Amino acid sequence: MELFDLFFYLFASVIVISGAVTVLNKNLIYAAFALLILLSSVAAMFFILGAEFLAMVQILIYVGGVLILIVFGIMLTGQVKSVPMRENFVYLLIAAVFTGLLCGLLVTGITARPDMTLSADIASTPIKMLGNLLISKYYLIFGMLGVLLLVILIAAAGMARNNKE
Amino acid sequence: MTTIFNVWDFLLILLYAIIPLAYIIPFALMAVYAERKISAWIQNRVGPNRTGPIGLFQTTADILKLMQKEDIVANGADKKLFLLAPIVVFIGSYAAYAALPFTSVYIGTNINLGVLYMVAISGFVVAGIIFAGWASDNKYSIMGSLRSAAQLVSYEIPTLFVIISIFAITQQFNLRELSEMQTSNILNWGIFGFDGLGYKRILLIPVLFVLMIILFISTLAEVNRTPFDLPEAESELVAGFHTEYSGMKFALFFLSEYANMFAVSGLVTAFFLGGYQSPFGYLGNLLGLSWLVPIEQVLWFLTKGILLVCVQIWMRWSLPRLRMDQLMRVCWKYLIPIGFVCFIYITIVMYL
Repeated sequence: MELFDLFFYLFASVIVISGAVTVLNKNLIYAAFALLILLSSVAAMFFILGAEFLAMVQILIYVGGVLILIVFGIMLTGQVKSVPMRENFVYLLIAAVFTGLLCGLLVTGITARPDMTLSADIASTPIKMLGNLLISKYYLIFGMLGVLLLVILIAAAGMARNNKE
Repeated sequence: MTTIFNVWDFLLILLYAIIPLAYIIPFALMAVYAERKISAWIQNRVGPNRTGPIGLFQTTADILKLMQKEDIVANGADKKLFLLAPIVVFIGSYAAYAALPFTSVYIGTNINLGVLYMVAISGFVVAGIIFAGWASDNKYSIMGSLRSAAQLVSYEIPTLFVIISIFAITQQFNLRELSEMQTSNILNWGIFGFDGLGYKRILLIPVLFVLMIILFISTLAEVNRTPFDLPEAESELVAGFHTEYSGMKFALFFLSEYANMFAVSGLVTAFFLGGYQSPFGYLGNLLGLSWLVPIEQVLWFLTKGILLVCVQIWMRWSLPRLRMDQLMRVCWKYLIPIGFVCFIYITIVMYL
C-alpha cells in the first residue's frame, strides 16, 4: 500500500459516493454540490495518474464553467428542493441493463490490452507534446470541435438577438 | 508492497501546505487595516486610531469580536450548504497559493501548469459564493451570487487570452520557470519583453503593457473587487451573497477575499513584474551568501504583491461601481477583442 494507492482509492470512493448522491438526491442544489465534489475528485484522479493538463482542464471547464452554469440555471427555476423522480421498475431495469453493458465494455476493454497499462510513477505529459499531437495527429477532430464551437457561438448569438426583437 | 506510507514525507507535505496560511492571516489583518487607513486618507478622514498605536490592532480586535459572535443561521436557510459554502470559498482561494512562486526555493507544488491551475481553481470560489447565496434563502443573496456567476464566466475569457499570449512568447506554463526567465534585471521583466528575444522585444513592449492592464482588470473582476463588486454591492444588495453570514463564517469570507486579492496580485507579478526576482541583482550574490538570495526573493515577491494590493485598494476608493450592462460591455466589447488582437499580433511577431 503506497501513498499513491491510498489516494487513488480515496478519490475513487469519493467519486462513487458523490456520483450516487448526484443521481439520487431530490434536492437539485445538493445534487449540484455533489457534482462539484465529483468533478473535482475526477480532476484529482487525473492528477495522480499524471495527466496534469487534463486535470486542469477538468477543473477549468467543468467546475468553472459547466457547474456554475448548471447552478445558475437551477437558481432561476422554481422547484428545487424536492423534484419528483421517476422511480418505476421499468426505468430501473433500463438503467441496470445499460449500466451493466457499459461496465462490461469497460472491463473487457481494459483487460483485453494489459500491455497498455502504465506504471504508477509516470512522468506528466509535456504540454508541448500535447499541443503538437493536437495539431498533427488529431487535427481532424480538433478542427471539427472548433467548427462545432463556432456553430454553437453563432447559434447562441442568433437566439439572443431573436429574443430582443 | 515494499514502501509503506512514509510519515516524514507526509509531514513535509503538510508543512509545505501550511506555510501560506501562516502568511495569509497576518496579511489579511494588515490589509484590512491598510484598506481602512487608505480609504480614510483618500476621503480626508483620520481612519482607525484608537486601538493600539495609530489603530494598528483595530482588525485584530474586529476578528476577536467576530469569533465571539453568535453563529446565526436564518430560519429558512439550508443549514448544511450554509455551513459548507464559506469552506468551499476558502478552499478555492487557499488552493491558489499552492502554485504561487514565493521564491526559487519555496513553491507549494511546482507543477508545469501552474498558471492554468491558478485560473482554474478560482472556479471554486465562485461555486462557493453561489451556494452561499442560495443557502441563505435571501433574495439579495441570490441576486449577488447570480451576478458573481455571470461575472466570472465572462471575465475568465480575457484572463485566458492573456495567458495564451504569454504562453506564445515564453512557451512556459510553469510559474517558477516564468519567474526564472525574467532575470534579476528590471529590463528583462515581462512588461519590458522577456529575456533573450532580441529585436522582437521592441515590437512586443506596447502589447505587453496592454496585456498587463487586461490581466489586472479581469482578475480584479474575478475576485469581486470594486469597481466590479456587483456581487456584494452594499448600496443595492445590502451585502450581496454574505448578507446572512455572521461570526466566523463571515470572517472566512473576509479572509478569502483578501487572500484572493494577494493571489491575483501574485499572478500579475509572476507574469509581468518579474515574479520573485529583484529589479537589480541580489545582495546575497554580491556578498557571496547564497542563503540570503531566497529571503530577498520572498521580500521582493511580497513587496510587489502588496503594492498591487494597494493599487486595488486605491481603485476601490476612487472609482464608482459599474452597472451590470457596463460590466458585460467592458468584458465582451473591449477586453476580449483587444486581448484577441494582442494574441494574434504576438503570434505574428513570434513567428517572424
